[in-house]
Amino acid sequence: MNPPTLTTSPKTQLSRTALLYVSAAFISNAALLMAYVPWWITLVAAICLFWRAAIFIGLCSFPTLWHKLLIVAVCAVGLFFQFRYRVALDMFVSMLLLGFSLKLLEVYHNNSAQYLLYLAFFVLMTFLLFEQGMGACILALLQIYLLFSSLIAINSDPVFLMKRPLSALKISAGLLGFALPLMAALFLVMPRFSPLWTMPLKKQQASTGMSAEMAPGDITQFSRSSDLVLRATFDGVIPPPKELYWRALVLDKFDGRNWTIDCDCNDRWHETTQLKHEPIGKHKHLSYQVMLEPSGNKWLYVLAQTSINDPMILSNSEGLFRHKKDIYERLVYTGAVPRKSEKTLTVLPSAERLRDTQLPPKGNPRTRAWVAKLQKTTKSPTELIQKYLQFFHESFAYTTQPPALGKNSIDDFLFGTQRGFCEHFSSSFVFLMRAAGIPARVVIGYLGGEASFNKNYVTVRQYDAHAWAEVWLDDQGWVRVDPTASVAPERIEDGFENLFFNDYDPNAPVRLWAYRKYPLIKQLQQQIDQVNYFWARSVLSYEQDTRHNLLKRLGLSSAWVLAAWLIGFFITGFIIFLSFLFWRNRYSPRECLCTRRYRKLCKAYAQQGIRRTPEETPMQYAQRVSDAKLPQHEQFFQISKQYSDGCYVSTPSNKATRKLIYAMMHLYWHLLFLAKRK
Amino acid sequence: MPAGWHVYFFESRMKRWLDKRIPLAKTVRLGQRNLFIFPSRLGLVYFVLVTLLWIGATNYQSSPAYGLCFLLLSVLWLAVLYTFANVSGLQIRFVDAISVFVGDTAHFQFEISSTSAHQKLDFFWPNETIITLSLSKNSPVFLHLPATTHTRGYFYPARFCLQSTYPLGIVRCWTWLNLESKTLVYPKPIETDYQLCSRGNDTDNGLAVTGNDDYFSLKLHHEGDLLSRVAWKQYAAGRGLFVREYVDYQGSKLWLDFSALDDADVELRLSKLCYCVLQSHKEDRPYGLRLPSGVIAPNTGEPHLHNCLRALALYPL
Repeated sequence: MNPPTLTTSPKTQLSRTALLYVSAAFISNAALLMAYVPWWITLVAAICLFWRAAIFIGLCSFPTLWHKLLIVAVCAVGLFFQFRYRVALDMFVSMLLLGFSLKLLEVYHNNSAQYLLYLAFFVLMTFLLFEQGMGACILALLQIYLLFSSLIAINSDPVFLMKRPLSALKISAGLLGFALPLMAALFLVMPRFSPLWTMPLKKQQASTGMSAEMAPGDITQFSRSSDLVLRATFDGVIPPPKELYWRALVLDKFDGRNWTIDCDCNDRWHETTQLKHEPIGKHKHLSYQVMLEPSGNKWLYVLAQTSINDPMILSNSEGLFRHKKDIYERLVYTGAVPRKSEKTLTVLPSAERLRDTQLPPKGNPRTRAWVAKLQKTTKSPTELIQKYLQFFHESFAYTTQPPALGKNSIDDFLFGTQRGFCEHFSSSFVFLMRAAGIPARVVIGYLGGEASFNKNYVTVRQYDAHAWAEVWLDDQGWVRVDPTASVAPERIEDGFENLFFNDYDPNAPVRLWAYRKYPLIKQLQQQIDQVNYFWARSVLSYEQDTRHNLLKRLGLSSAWVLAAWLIGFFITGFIIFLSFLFWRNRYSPRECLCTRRYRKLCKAYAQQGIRRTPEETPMQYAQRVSDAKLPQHEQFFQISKQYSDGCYVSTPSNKATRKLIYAMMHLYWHLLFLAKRK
Repeated sequence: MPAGWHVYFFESRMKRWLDKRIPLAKTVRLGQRNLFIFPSRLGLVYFVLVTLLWIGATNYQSSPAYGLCFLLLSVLWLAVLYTFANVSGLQIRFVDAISVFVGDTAHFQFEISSTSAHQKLDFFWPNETIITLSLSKNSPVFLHLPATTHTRGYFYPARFCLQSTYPLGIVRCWTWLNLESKTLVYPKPIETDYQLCSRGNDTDNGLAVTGNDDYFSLKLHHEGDLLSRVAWKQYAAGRGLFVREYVDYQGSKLWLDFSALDDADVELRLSKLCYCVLQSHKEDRPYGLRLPSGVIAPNTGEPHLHNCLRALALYPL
């Protein structure tokens, strides 16, 4: 005997139907990634597709080696000029898509088509790295369906596929129908690991644009973006929006024009896990979970007096938190705030006192003089704050398009223009406090947030950006003061959205967001957002911890137990499938249904006393049954005649066969009934 | 290729194991007893793809990418079941094989039936042409599996392989089947002169046996007459369809004698005799065969031809 060589199928040419499948999969795959690659790569993909189509029709031939070398050289040069030495995911995706397109030109054999489809799965994964929404995932699932249909098409019998071109779609639907529950099980229980290495998705492309400095004198345009910043879920009733001050940064250095972060040395940041934490109690604390959209920065948005215990998060003495790495992916963190504001009666260190009363030695003389005059008539800092706020309330106006300010920006604002938005109010207020020698600082972040349709989470968007002040009072510690509330209380109460729409820029590109003034649209958008948030929370942020908790709840915390379950799960599936196969093949292929029914009938007569011998023909047996005058023998004779004719004279129609089978069954049950009655 | 002892050792071990696992049978029904399954080469590449996707998903901590990776993994697992289902339930029976001459390709006919549909089944003997076929529900198919013959006598083919990678090409399900099948292989005909192998002719009527076109008379053609004896010249001249009658040769009996040949090689002698038998049959002249193992009296016709060829094929080595 020759050695049993593992011969695989010979390289067979791809059938035309299968090629159509592969082309359809190629088009949709390339279309999915079109938005993430330079335009000329899409062009190359289109050229490759048309070339392959021309080969298909017979207009031209396959590319020669020289053609291929030329194309590869051109593409390499294009890639170099596009990306230079920048290594990021988009370059990788461009290369992948180019390779994918060029591979199409080579597809001739089944094998090469199979490799092309493997590549397509890889391309699809990069799409899923860029887009994670539910819509994108549904699109990807449809694409997977098409890819598997193509795989089945190239592995099918060409003749069969030509006759029934849609059969591949049908088989693939069944396959995915079985695969999806399996995938869900694997998704829930498979262990996850931390990244092996990281490569930013897109370099220098932070979507959220809050900057770490503030120059109220220069800004005359207010952010109009409605981009999502964060969504927060609370363990309990959501506090009213006017109490949701999301702190991000503290600006305490003023150079006469700009407010910046004073000292950002890393030694001021410490691990949150090493802090002394009070036990979080449900009655004492309100805990909340924030899902932060990628910002490209490190800082986190938290409510005042929040405590966080997370190995990846650092905190500082100003009550600010930051992530250890720049945030390029959605981040979820949990914080807790005391339900009753705690008074931290500590003494402000002298260095910090010095820093938070710092002002440039010169400039804004009019303001300084006004403060000095006011100080003489007030006894306490609280009274001074009241007077300032009174001043703001009486003579200031809120606008999102303030006039520009001159060299002495505080003077100009307080006694000149008197129109501005939160940055102007907060910065001038802090200046006033510092001028009076009271420590104060500017805090920037977001205010409020829109409650969701079901009132179970709040959504904070870019236009909720806000700036306010914090003042040190010796008997209370740091106290939040929001001068904007004195000027435009409706803004604090209702959120920024209304204001944002009242003077909506007509020149801005039309977006669906602009129609939010119509209640129906707003409701619809809220519902879509609700679904997206659910998706993001339950699927996208499903991580090692969530998995661990779920498994613990199911009693599968140990790896061994889990492995046993998994193995059991797969073996059960295998057994079910095998029994299905057995059930399908349970009768010998020689015996049709009609013969089986006839044998059953013979058994019934055997019970009556006359057994059919192996050599007996149906007619001979029927004759014997008739001679013995067994019950219903006329009917049996009739049936046997029909059966015998059907077997040996002419094949009856399907309808006649069905009728005969029905008659046999009827007789069988009748005989059984008679036997029972005896 | 000279194989090392270990190759031989494992091969014989494997052969013995296979003989126990899938014994010789008249009919075989494929099920989990006699089917083997493992990812194909493309399946291993697929596994590498899944691993790469998993690394990507881990690196970017992307749940949808994890989902894609797990979906592909589940499909790999399902493909095992699908491919197994595509091969299992087949019933294979050896039907017949027509005798051939050494060096020719023998076609073994098998009947393949099943109650369900099957696609893309590859059948082959090692190092032979692969035959791919598909079955629809409840309609048996006849497979003609080619095998090259090397020696005369009864040819018992080795195990043949049945494999399929349908539907995804990533899993290969196969079996090595040993069905009771054989065919008779005749010696390869080698052209030679009659004179050399017909010493000791029965020449009762003194007529020399010379194969030429002389014929005695023409007879009207009747249905069933040999085509080789149709008088085409007369037919072409438009005189009607006649057959030639070699009356003068009817009595002359040609004895093809093994001992008349002076070749040292037995196989060569048999081959030459085989040629003469075929030639005589073609010319429709009576011939007898005289072998050391037995004698076949002169006669004509198909059964006689097969008797003679059979005797040549089974001549002891």
